[in-house]
Amino acid sequence: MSALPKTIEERIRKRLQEMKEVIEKRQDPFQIDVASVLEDLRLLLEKYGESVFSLDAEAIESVIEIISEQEEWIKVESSLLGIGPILAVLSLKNMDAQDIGRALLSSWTPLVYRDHLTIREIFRGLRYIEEVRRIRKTLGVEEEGTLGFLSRDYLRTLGIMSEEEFNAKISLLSLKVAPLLENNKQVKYWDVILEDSYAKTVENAVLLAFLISRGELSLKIDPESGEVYIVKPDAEEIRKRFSVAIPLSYEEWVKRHAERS
Amino acid sequence: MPRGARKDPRLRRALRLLLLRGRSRPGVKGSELRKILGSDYNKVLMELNGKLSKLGLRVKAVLKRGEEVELEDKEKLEDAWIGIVLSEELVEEDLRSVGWRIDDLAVLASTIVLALSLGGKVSRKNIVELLRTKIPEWRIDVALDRFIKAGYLFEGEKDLIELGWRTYMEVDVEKLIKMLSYRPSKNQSA
Repeated sequence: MSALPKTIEERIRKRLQEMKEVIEKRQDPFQIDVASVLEDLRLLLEKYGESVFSLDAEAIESVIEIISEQEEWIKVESSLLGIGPILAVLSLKNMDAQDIGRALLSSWTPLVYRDHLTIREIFRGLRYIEEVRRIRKTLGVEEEGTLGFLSRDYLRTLGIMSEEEFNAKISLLSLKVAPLLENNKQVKYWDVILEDSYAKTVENAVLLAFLISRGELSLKIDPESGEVYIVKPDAEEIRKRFSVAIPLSYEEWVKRHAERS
Repeated sequence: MPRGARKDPRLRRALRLLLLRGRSRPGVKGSELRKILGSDYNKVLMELNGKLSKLGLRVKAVLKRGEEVELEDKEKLEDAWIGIVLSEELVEEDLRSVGWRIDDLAVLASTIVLALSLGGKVSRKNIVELLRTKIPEWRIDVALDRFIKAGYLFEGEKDLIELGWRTYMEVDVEKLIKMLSYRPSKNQSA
């Protein structure tokens, strides 16, 4: 039997160190290939005999520890599949918020990324700046931003109307709907509000909502088609007041407008 | 790589694609990377991963339900969502710069654990009930809303909350459950 060469001894010691680290750091014990370690030890023992006894004993001790760790690991892993989360919930009840947060912190590796502007967002920003510039000119507000009065023309530019104007518009719409309901029991909602511009259509819808709130008109929905109708309110309907949301998207307006055309 | 050897320009491109948030969420799908970088895109990712590891970062690929995919596994990588994550966990002092409080993390941890124990979904009410003695109710609600907005959680019908794509990407759920399930009591650890 020959003496154990230094390189082979170093290799075995390295493997021993790996096993010790796995045990100390509670890492996955299955990362150690026990079969190959035992095979190496057998070959060494055959070739170098007594000279490797102490190294062999040390290695066998570590292998035993690794095998017992593997057994424990399997037990824990199999129970985790079923009752892990339930046990965790029980633990949570007895822990304070800081400890729970710390548990997440040690299992959390956040994503790394950069936010950036897309071409579309840049154009949106440019449009916004352009519009802000236009409004500032129209309003003529002082650079210092001091308080002052806005003229009727400025308000009209912003689309803000007075109470008188609002009431006048409501009356106009009321006059438009009244003759329609004289001749028919009901009128389609969209037939009343639809105009050639989307803005005007939305305005009509808002005004109509006021007329309905005041009790001058009422809505009826056909349960089969879902079509909404405007009707004259009767006492029973006033008693059974209900709220209804009518979507008024631009797409819907385009569709209805195209149908009418 | 020997000095003077030409670097693969796809490496820088892959880094750009993974770092810049193009849509609502950072990262790219494997199939998209294949189209841009070519059929051996996983080799580019592996090389990038090697370089990033020196900076404490790594390329991570996960499938829809959180299963992590090895960069060598080209077949599974195709359907995986790929991003760059920290390779080491944060420490408490880093939290301030990330924008979350330790209380917020407690809300996320509790939601993850509760959802898993209840078959994948949990109601807001259950979360609040578990945490109300530890964290003020309004803070729980605010944190839940923030986590939903950031993609860590997903709120479906009837206020039921599920785990979102970002939890699967960033949180080692198995490790979290282990830490909470087999936590030695204070007397034992002393």
